[in-house]
Amino acid sequence: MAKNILVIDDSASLREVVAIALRGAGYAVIEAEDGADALSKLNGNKIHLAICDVNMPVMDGISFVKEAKKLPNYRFMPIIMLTTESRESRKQEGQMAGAKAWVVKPFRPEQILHAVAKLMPV
Amino acid sequence: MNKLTDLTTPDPSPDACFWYPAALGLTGGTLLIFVAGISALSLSVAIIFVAAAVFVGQRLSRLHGVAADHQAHSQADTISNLYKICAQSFPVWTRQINTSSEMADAAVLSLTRLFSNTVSRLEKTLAATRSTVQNVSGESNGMTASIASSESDLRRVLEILVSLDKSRDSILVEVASHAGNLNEMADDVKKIAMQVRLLSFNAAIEASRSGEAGKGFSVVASEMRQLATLSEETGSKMVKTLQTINSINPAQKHVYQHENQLVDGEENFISTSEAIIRRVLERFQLTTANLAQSIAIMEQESTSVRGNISDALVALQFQDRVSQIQAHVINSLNALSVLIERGAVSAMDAETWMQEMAREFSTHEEFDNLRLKGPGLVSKRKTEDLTFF
Repeated sequence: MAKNILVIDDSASLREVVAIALRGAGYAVIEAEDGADALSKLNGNKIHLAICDVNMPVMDGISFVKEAKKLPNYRFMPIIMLTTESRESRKQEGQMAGAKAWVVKPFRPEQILHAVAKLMPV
Repeated sequence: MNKLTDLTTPDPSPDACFWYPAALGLTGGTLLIFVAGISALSLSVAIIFVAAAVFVGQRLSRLHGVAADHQAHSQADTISNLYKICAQSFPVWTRQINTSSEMADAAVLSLTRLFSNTVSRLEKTLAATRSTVQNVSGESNGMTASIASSESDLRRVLEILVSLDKSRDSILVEVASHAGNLNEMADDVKKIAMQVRLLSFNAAIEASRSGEAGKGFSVVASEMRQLATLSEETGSKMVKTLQTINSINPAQKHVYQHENQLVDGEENFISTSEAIIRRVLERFQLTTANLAQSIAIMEQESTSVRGNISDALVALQFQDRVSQIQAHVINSLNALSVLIERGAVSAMDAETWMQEMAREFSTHEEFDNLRLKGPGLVSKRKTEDLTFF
């Protein structure tokens, strides 16, 4: 049974790029276009890991991480931040919110797969 | 010199326009009196000189005042027009950037989906190739192993055929040998019968000589004669049987010879078959080796294609950064447009404005551009920025 990964990004092309890399490695991908959309897709579904952009409309990535950590079923779900953000202060915000890794775009597929493999719960 | 520079160049004041000629006239009059001495004429000329200078100063001052008023009006018009142009242009520029961004987004999304589909099909092809590689070159159940196993089985079959052929030859030789022995035994039986018949004749003669006393012995001689007759008949039957066998023998020999020919033919057939099988297997092995080589090349190519896919996936991410940079430019244009509309530009100093603008920057390129660092091109930063918390 393939493990489910939630990919959250307001750019459809970026979601597609991440999905190509993940599906190629055998993961199942669920897409969401912002933090609020992602929260609605968490609802009861078995999600093993989330990959989330930072700067998004409606609800940004840091807020999503904070909200997801409040949900009992998703408290321990690993979240990787995938962003163009290069500021150290934003990275620290992500860490404080509960993210497990910070990847700066553009990324290589093997880079994101390495992070996923390391953080994916057994 | 352009209009903006005209606006910033300092002009002489109206007072200066009056006092410069007046001072010049006064100095000139004083110098005239000093040189010509005090006289009615020199005083008159000096007064006229000063009066003319004052008159020129007044005229100049008035003219300058008119020009200054005109320039002030012109400056106000320029600023007003600039505001109007900005107020009308900014929303248009914003929409233009937005439209181009959406066009690029749609095109890149389409390209990405096309690419995704291609990658998916390529993955399936590669999976099939890997499966073929295992089928062809697998050590335990691959095609090569299967050929080797088939070759071994065929060789065993050929060995069994050769062995059966040899067994049949030895049986035929043995049967021929037993037929010879039986012939000899039949001759022996006939010889014994002859001897017994002679003995019975002699016994009958001796019994008749003995008269009454030899009657009993005569009966024994008669029985012996019958026994000889029976033995002779048996020997004759054996001879007849052997004659029958011997009569068959030439045919048998012919058959045997024919069989020998057949056997030779079979041996030739077997060796020919063996050679053909070997050739077929060798050709098959060569084909398999070529196939395995082709598949190995495909594997190498697939590795190369994977690298290209990885590079393409990195390149396709440019649109995300482009969109973000364009969105930030649009936000700044909108903010400035609002400031102009509200007439609040004078309350905003440039440094605060730049700080506000940079607040939403996120890419390396934006920060480099803010510092006017580099040629304003794409950052050459390596894609290795991964941090685990």
